[in-house]
Amino acid sequence: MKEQQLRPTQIPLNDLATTYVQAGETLFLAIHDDIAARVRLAHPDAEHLEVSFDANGDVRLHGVWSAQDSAIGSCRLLYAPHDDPEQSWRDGPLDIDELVTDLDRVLTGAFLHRWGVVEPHPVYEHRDRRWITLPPADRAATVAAIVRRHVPDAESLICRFEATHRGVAVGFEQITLHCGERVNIPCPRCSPESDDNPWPHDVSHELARLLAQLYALPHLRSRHLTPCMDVASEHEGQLWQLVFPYREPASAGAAHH
Amino acid sequence: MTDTAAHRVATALRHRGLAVDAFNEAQAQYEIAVLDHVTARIVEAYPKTTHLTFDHSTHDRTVEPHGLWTTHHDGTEELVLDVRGDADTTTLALEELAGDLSDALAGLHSAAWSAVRPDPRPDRRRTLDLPPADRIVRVAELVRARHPHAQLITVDFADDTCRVLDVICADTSQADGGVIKPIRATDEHPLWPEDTERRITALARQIHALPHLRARHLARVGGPDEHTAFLLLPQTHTHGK
Repeated sequence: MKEQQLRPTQIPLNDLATTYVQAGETLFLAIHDDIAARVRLAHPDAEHLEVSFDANGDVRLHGVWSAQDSAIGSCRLLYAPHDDPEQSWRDGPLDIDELVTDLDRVLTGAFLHRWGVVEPHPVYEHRDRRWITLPPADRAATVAAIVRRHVPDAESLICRFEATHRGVAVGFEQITLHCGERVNIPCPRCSPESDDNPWPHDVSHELARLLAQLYALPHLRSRHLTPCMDVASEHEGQLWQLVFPYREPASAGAAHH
Repeated sequence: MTDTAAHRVATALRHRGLAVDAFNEAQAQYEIAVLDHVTARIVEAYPKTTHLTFDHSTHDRTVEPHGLWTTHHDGTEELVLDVRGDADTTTLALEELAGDLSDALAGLHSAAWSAVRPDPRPDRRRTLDLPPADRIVRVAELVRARHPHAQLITVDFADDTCRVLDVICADTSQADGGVIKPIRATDEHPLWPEDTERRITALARQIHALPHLRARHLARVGGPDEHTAFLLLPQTHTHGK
């Protein structure tokens, strides 16, 4: 009788809470992607949004900016909002009200800050404003480009992901090279003194953010990440392989010079 | 594959929609699981408890439990534990209980609000009915109180709400009893009183939120854009005697 009355939940509450938190993170990322797609439909070069919060905590959009332009050494202002209804033709296909509503929604939580896409404004006078970075159009290609900047022969990256209460943690495991060789990436926790790191520390953070987003968005995970096995690994957990887009091995010839 | 900006907008919007569904589902599952967890602990300490009253602060949305109650067979209720009066914290961790309940009822549209009666008591407190040990048996009791030969009900889960569309009964006027006869809910002829509808749909929503119950009791019907499902009522052993 007592057993029937005690109705334990089928899955531990902590796991359900983690799933819930992750679903929220994924949702915020998906909204962020949606915002980026709509902004870029109107302004294809858009890379950053400049926003502030007014006294009520509501979001105000100050500008849509391009990426840093090497010719002028700064970002170009692509769009600045205006209060004049007569000028609404300048908004083009961008629905500003809808955009601000969505920004309001995603900026209330800590999720986007955790993904590293919201930062304080880079200009000191505007420290109270927020600088939002739109995601790269193709995250997998961006990861490949960053890795190949440091390891030109890289063909794929093998890493592990751990979903926690505070986002997705990424561990780098191996890089496979064009010639079939594998390069182990030292674990910063097991061997913090190791200097075999293929790239500097801040590149790890940049890669980890993009990889965590690839992992968190289900459609990107299924398209780009392949589960793989490695019995020799010192760590537990599922390994995932991100295969980079094919390109002609450049260093095969370069090595002879 | 065309990868134009317009195509990306459509893709992003579609994945956003999927993420919203996944989030709502994870939220509902978490909230109902917390409700079940709270219920299990209360029933362990005070087995007769059927419902509890609480103060709800609309300001910071916290829940302050007030009393545990039991319902007698004649419908009268009796206070089992006055949370503030009897400081009996040994059998039940009340702080934790309040925190868990606040968690479950944090959202304005959270699935756990289905367990809360819509009308506040005269003292403006709210009443939360602890979910029964076997939800589907309770649903069957409620349905068969009005429609004794009911076999299953059709429920619609569109837009966060839930309503019963029809009751399907075995037609006992036929000799073999195998003919089924749906009774549709209409505005002129509701299936049952409003309060019964609320109690049935509350339990149906909770069954829907928990995957292990959903898999056992609900069968989806209709197209991919429809949210209707059959809720299969268990056979009772006394039926037909």
